[in-house]
Amino acid sequence: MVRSKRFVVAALLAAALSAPAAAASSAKAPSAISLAQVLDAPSLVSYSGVVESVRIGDRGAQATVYRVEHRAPDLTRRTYTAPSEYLGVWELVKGNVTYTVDPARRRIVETRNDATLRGRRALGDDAQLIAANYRASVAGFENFDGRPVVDVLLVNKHTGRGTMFVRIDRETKIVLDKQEFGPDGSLISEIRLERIAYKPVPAIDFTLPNDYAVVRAQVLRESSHDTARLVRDAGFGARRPQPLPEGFSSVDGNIVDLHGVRTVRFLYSDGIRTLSLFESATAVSPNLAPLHPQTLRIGNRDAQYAEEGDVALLSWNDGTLYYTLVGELGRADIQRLAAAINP
Amino acid sequence: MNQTHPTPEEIVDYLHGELSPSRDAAIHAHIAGCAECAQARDEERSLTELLRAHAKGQERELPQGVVASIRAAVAHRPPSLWERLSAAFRPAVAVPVAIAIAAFLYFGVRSMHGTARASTIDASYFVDCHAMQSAATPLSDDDPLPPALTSDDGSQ
Repeated sequence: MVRSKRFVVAALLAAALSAPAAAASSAKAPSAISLAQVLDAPSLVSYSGVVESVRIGDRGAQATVYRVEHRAPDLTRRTYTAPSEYLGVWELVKGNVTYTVDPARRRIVETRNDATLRGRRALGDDAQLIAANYRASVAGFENFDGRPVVDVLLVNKHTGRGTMFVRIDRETKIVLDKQEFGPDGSLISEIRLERIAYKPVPAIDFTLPNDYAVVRAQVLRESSHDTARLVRDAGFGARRPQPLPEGFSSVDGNIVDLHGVRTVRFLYSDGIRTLSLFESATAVSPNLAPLHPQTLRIGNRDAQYAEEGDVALLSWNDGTLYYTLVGELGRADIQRLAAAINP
Repeated sequence: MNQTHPTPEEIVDYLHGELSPSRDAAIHAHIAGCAECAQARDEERSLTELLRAHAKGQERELPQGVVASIRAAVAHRPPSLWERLSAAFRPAVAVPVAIAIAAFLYFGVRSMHGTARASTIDASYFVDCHAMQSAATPLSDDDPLPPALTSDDGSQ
């Protein structure tokens, strides 16, 4: 939460600075906010509140509620209250490591995600990507849950669609509400930080139980910007990623082992939306059967398409390589991008 | 082909993605041309899958250090006649087989069921991978649910 919000604000400001006309069109400019202030805010501001998150897919929605306690500069605790199967579960995030505490099983699951290190290094690049693909427009000023906020809409320059709407606390620069919209303009996700209180959080709240078993879970290795090297190290004739329509660029990737199959994964981003492309030379694909897949055409090949929540999956092969695309995109969007990958 | 075989520990690290990218690539290239190391890799993977299948079936995590304790027990146990004969003819096979036997005895007969190889992977594994990777991008959502509780190794 903290890291994401930090980057949200930074990116928004970067985009807003690149779109002075849009900002100037608003009736009243917010008080001066520097990028440095925004970047530093989460490392300076401690707070607690309640997060309500909803993700809406074609076949249903997933809602989550948790209490969040952030202790500047980099400790965050989330305590889940919904859905019911996660009641009592809590997480402690320290840098790139997440500890999930499961009282029912008296265990702590440790998940390391070295890919998050990339965010700190590539912030400038990401901000440039957003500025290249999105136009920021200040939509107004209001009070949100008792806090003065500035409303900002990010419009995709390629499609002209409003993609994201955020409410930023004008005093603390923390994002209090974020809404993301699908290709048809419908809301596909929203995450709200409510009942926020800016005050120190006791260190004791971030202490892990010392009598629980610790289990290591999924580990994601640090990713690399050097996609040429990834292609070279793949061990098979992987395709080097090319820029895709609507400003999607390959930002990093890594080599993973999917059930014994060596697979190259590239992450594409347009600054807001992301897309993962998995390539392998051996047949391996997601099991889409439980998700009621549909058959689409990619070039002259059949592809299987399905959705899990608001995430779309598309899997196909071109006779040489096996591909799977995963991202929070609509069917038409992901099909168009797949066609560009594999015309 | 690189004539220096990777150590068993390196093969384990290779399977678990713990090596540096360059070493990972080197071992991958070596295994592609070395039947002996490919066999060692497959046997290590089979053992891991056996243990994971059991842990999943029992809805509990693999006990910490169980593989290490099995290895230690095997390493300190005096070799049997059969093991000596096996070692004489197929040294790369003896230890993995002994480990597999020890694992079998540890987990019991039931865990031998349902360990067949699969060509598909749970779709949630791809989704989780994507979520973890994209979490580093500036406008991503944090995971709304603890990933460690919503995913397993992805095997079908």
